[in-house]
Amino acid sequence: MKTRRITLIVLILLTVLFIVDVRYFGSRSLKEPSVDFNISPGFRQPEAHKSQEFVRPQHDITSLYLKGRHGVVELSSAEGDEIRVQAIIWSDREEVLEVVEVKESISGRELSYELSSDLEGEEVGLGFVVEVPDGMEVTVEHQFGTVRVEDFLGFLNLDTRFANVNLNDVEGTLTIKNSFGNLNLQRIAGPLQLTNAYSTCTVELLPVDGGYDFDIEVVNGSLKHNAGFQVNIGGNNRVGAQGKWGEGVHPVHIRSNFGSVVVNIDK
Amino acid sequence: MTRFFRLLRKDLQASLLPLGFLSGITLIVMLFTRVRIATGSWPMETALAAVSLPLVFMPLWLLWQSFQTLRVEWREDTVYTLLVLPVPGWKVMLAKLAAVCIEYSVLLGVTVFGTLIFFAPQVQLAMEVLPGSLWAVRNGILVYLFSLAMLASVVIFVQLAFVVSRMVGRAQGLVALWTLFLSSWLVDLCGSLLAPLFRWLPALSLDKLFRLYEIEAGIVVNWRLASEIGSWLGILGLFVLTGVLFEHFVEVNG
Repeated sequence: MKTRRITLIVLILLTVLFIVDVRYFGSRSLKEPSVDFNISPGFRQPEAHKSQEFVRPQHDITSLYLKGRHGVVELSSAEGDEIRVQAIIWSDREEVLEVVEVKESISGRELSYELSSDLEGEEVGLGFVVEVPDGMEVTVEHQFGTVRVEDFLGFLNLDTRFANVNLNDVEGTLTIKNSFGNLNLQRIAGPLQLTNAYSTCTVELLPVDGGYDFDIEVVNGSLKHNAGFQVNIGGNNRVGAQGKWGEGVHPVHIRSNFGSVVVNIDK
Repeated sequence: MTRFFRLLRKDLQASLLPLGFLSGITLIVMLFTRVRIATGSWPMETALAAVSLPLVFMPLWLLWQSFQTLRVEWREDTVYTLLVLPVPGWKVMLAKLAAVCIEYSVLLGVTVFGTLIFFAPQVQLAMEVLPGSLWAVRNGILVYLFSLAMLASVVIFVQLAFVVSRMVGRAQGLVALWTLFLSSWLVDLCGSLLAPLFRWLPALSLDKLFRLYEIEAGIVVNWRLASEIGSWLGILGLFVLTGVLFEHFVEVNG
C-alpha cells in the first residue's frame, strides 16, 4: 500500500506543479524550438566570385562537355575555329574560392570543364559563357540556375535539373533530359529527343525540309499542339501522340512525366 | 541476458499473429491498388495513398500494441509469474519495448518491400528527384533510426501510464491518460531545466548529416541538442521509474 500511496501523492503533486507551471510560467512552454530551419534556394548574389578563361583551337576536338551548377550557362555558335570558355565560379566564402578551380581536360576528341573538387557542404556555383564553332557537339550538365542557348548550330545534349532552360534559334540535333525546371525551346530546327519530368515544356519548331515525325507520350500531364497529329488518350493518365508533319524525316521524340507539354510548328 | 531474450521471444511470439495479419493486409492493399492502377480504374496518385496508409496506421497500432502487451499480463494473471522471476522490472519493460521496436521494423520493412515490388515505376520516378539511390538508402536508414527513437520514447510513456493506472482501483483509463499527458509535460520540463547544463554542446547540423546540399544548396537545418539531452534523461528516468513501480506491483496488491 505504501507504493500506491507514494505514487498517488507524486501524481497529485505533479498535477499541482503542472497547474502552477501553466498558470505562472505559461511562457516556458513557448521556449524557442530546438530545430532551426533555413532555406535560401536557387541562385543568389554570391559573396565572392572569380572567373577563368580558356581559349583553344578546335583542331581534332569534336565535342565539348560542361558541368555546372547554379549560375548561368550561356552557349552560342560563333564563326571561326576557336572554342572560347569563360568559367565563373562563385561562393559565399573567399577561402573556398582559393581552393576551387575549373579543371580542363581532354579525353580523345572531347574537351571538358568542371569543378576541380566537389567541396561537400560548401555552396559553390559554376556558370559558363561559351562560344563554339559551328557543328560541334556540346553536352551541358547543369543543376539550378539558368541555361541559355542562342544561335547554335550543331549537336546539343542537355541534362538539367531545377534549372530554367531557354533555347532560341537552335539548328541541329537536340537531346534534352530535364526535370524540375521550365523548358522553353523557340525556333528549333532538327531532330529532338526530349525526356521531361515535373516541368512545363514549350517547343516551337521551325518548318524544315523533310518535316517531322512525332512520337510523344505524356503521363500525368497535358499535351497541346498545332502540328496536326492525332492525340490518343489512354489509361493510367497517359496521353500519346504519333504523326508526321511533312515527309516526317526528323524524329521528334518526347516523353514527359508529371508536366505539361506544348508542341507547335511555326507555320 | 538469456532471461531477457526469453522474455523478448515470449512477447514476439504473442504478436506473431497480428504482425503476420497486418503485413499480409499491407501487401494485399498494395497489390490491389497496383492492379487497379494498371487497369486504369484508379489514378496513379492512389499509389501514394496505398503506401501512406500503413505508415499512418503503424504508429497508432504500435502504441496500442505496447499498451496491449502489458494489459494481457494483467488480464491473464501472468504478471505474477513475471514478478516472481529473478528479472528486474526494467528488463521486463525493456523486453516489451524491444518487441514493439522489432514489430515496427518488420512492418516498415514489409511496407518498403511492397512499395519496391508493386510500385517500382513510381519509385523510379521519385528517384529522379533524389541525388541517387545510395543517398536515398542512407537517409532512409537515418529516418528509420530517428523514428525508432521517437517511437521508443512514446512507448515508455505508455508503459508508465499503464503501470501507474494499475495502482488505482477506479478510473484506470482516465489515470492512464492523465499520466501520459503529465509524463510528456515532465519530460519537456526536464529538457528546459537541464538545457543550461548542455549549452556548451554544438548544434547538430542535420543538413550535413542528411546531405541535403545534394538536393539543394542553401538548406540549413541545425538541431540544438541542449534541451533535447535533458528530455532524453527525463525519458530514461521515466523508464527506470516504470521498472521500479512494476516490481512493486505485488506489494501494492498485497
